[in-house]
Amino acid sequence: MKLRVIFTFVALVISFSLLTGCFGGGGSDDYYPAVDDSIPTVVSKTTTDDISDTTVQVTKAVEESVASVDLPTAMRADVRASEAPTFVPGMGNNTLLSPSKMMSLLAVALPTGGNVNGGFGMENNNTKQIATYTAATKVLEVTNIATDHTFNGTIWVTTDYVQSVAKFTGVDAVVTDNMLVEATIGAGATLEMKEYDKAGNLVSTILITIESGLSAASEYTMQTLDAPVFVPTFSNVFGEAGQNRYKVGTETTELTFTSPFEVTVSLTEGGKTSTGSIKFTGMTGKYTITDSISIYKYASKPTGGDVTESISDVFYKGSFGESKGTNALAFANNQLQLNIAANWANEGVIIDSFSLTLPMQTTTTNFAHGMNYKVVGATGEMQARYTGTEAEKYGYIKSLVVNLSAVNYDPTKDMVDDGALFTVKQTARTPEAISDTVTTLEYKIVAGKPVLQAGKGNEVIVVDDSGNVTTKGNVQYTKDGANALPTLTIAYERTKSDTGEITARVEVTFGTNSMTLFFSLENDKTIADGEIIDGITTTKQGKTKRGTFTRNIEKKISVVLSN
Amino acid sequence: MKIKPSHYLLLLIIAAISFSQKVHAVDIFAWLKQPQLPLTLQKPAWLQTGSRIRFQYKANEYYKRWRESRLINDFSGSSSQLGLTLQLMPRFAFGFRKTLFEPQIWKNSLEDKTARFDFESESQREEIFVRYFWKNAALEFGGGTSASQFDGSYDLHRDVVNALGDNPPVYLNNRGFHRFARLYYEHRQFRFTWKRHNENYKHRLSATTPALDLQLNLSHEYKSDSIEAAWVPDHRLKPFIRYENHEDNGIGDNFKDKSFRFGTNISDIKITSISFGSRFDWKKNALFAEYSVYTFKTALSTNINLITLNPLFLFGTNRVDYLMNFRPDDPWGLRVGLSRKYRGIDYSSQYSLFSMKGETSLDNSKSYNMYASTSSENDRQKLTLDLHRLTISARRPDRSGSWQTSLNLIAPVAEIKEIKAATAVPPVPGPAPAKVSKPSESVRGGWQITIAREFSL
Repeated sequence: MKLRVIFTFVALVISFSLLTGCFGGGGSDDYYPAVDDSIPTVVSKTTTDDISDTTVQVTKAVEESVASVDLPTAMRADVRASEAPTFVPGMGNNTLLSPSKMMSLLAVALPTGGNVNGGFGMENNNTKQIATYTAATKVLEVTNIATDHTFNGTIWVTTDYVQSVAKFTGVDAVVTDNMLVEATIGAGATLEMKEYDKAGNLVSTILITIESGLSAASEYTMQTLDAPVFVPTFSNVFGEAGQNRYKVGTETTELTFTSPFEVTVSLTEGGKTSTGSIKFTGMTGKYTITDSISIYKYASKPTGGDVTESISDVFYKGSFGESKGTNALAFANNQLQLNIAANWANEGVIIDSFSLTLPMQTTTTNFAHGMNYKVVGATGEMQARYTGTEAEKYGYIKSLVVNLSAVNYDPTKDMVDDGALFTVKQTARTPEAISDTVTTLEYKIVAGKPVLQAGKGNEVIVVDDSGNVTTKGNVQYTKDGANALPTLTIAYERTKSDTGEITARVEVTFGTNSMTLFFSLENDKTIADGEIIDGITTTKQGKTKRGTFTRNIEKKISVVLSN
Repeated sequence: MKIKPSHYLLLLIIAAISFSQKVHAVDIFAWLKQPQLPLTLQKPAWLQTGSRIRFQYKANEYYKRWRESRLINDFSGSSSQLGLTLQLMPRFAFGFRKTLFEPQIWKNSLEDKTARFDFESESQREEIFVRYFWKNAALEFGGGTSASQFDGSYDLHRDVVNALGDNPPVYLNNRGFHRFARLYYEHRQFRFTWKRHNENYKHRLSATTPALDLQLNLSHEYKSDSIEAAWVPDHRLKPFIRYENHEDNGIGDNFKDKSFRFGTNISDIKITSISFGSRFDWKKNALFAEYSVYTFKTALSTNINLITLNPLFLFGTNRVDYLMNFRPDDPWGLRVGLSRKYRGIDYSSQYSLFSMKGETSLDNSKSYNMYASTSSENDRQKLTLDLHRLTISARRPDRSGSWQTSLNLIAPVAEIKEIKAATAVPPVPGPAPAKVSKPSESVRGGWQITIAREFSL
């Protein structure tokens, strides 16, 4: 796993939420017990060596404690982002949930049909849109019509087909002169979007419901010009091309938030249904966007000639100039709580909870599109599990817990700042019996350090704020074929400082006897200062020394016991 | 674009399987060796009767390249072999051949991250054989084992590195078991040989990262057949024809921590060739010329479940698939050579040109969004290869056996061009890039010297 994936993931969640205004809710349950990250998984081994012998005990203890020290830990700096995750089904990388986009569409949809540019769901300028509003049922339905060009062997044949149908419910609208000039949505409003292929087959259905916390109102003013006004947007030596504007006006969308603000989503695609929710807690206030818009036809004007409109004779709608906005949002205790849940029901992947606590720092209150906040010291946790039967397809995951801390995000940058800490704990299934829990893998990632460690798979690695990496492991030895002997237990703790110095402390217990080993590891992995101290102790100062040991360049361990 | 060193590896692999039955070997020259002299010039060496012991030493340098006095490419090595044949009865013999050591270096330290690797390899090979002789025929069959190990580093594909968190040290182990049989028959002016070689061999690529142990496996089943017939009349023209067929099918699973499967590798390679030519006698020289046509099909595929490598890929790219196809257009080959005896020494020399060009296609697809979405890329390259090979051999018999020596020279001239989609809008001319002085480079290689001594017992 590369950091950039996680960064992208977090950045997307934050930026997606804050910049497009998609908000919603979902809860998290304490489904998983608290993770005790201080106890490594115990590894059991057998040996034919005489583990009652102190020299063997020391040798085994040292070998185990340094076994993973040679494993590379550095992450590559030139990591490449993978595909951005679509974290909540149907929500990633689209603007369906943007209230401003929703309202933009509502405001320009002409009840008698027409053409718009830049509205929600518009993919290109050739897409036609037909909208109908039924006041009695408060339903606005918008049909996008696309054009397909096929060559029949002789000529190109043009065919229109329904590309998508968007259906809004709970829309209060005002229609004047056959034009939608005001629209309001609030809690309970839904948007159902159906997409079709060229043959008319339903491809996907997405249903978005505003559960609570948002009301949005759009006002639309439009003035018909006395005569079309040609506005060039392109020019060269042959002349100019641009818009022949018939109408100009403004479009203002005001979003009012109360806490909590929650949106739920259901997506059906390819026969598979998935659901999700986003909830923001702690955010209240208003957010306003004003755009200048026009209704126009494409036209050109040759040098020294007259304006000639495009033969397509199609009206388009578009905005011009910069959007103006006002941010009057407030955050309780200057922080925002984000909760996300998702369930890919057909696949069996469930995100029970994903919560982020984002301390918000306002960077500007005047903006074009979006709300720019710095996030400093964000924390979060995600708990996911896989309930399906295709263990191999989903990486043998049984459960997954990711904790985030020290996450700083600057909206002017693409990635989370260095220093963010991600702790990943995975419980895996065996390939043979997928219900069995057999492996717990835990590692920590520090953005920018860069460190990725999981030791031998059974170790616990902790990276502190200074960059020191502490590796802890537990190993038990029993003598092969001689079960009457006590078990030799080894518990080691090895620390690599941010400057590369490695020191270790190893607790060794055999029956009633116990000792603690202290040593430091040189760059060539030799040991010159190994000390054996009686009993289990955290420090060697003032304690009884039982002997010394060394490790040479051939990794041979020599033990000298005191008489 | 001239071929990069990384592409040599691809070419070598392709060429190796094209021309060699020693699929286990790590000696590039063994991979790329020319066929034996045609039957019309020389009967197979294994028809020689009598007990003997043979020592052989090879030194080779396929390719070395320096940049500013720094060695950046090194494909070189040596090999030592021992062979023993015991003629127990006039019609029956048996023996063994063994590779004593075969260290090789495989190094490319160019900054091109997708091509950088640094390996050292060692291989072993043993085989035993039995021969039976009739009046006008002989049969040899046998079998053996082979193994080789590569230790070093290789820059794995960036998707895999992303999942691993690091580019770990890589170890490649190869083990194989082979059986072979060959027959020689002659009747009056007619000579005939048949040869079959079957081999099962396994590759295991392993790497240990901080988080996990990886094993990538590929088990091959290789088989080849070769038939050559020659007519040796009392005439200046002595025609011959040869047919060869090589098939290599491989499959293997990749495992994390020995038990969690995260992908599958499949390879499918088939090469056939038909060669025909004739011997021409001129003065005391026996000359020959041969023309060959080939059919060539290669498909290699692998897939990797990134979620298994790292669970967080559950929310990123779930899986990546790669498929490489290569089907060159009508490869052909030309070989000429001569053989003569001068002052008691048998000399022979042959030169060959193998030429192929075609299009390699690499399909790369990624599944994401819980396998609901897939994105695909296709990279195509035009590959042209002219492989020049020259072999000069000499054998000097004496009372106790013979000395043998040979010199092999190899010069692949290859070019790979990326095929790009047509651009609708020509790019706007920008400012000329600043001129960068090109570092000085020197290249050496493409030679192998073999010295062997044979003692009659």
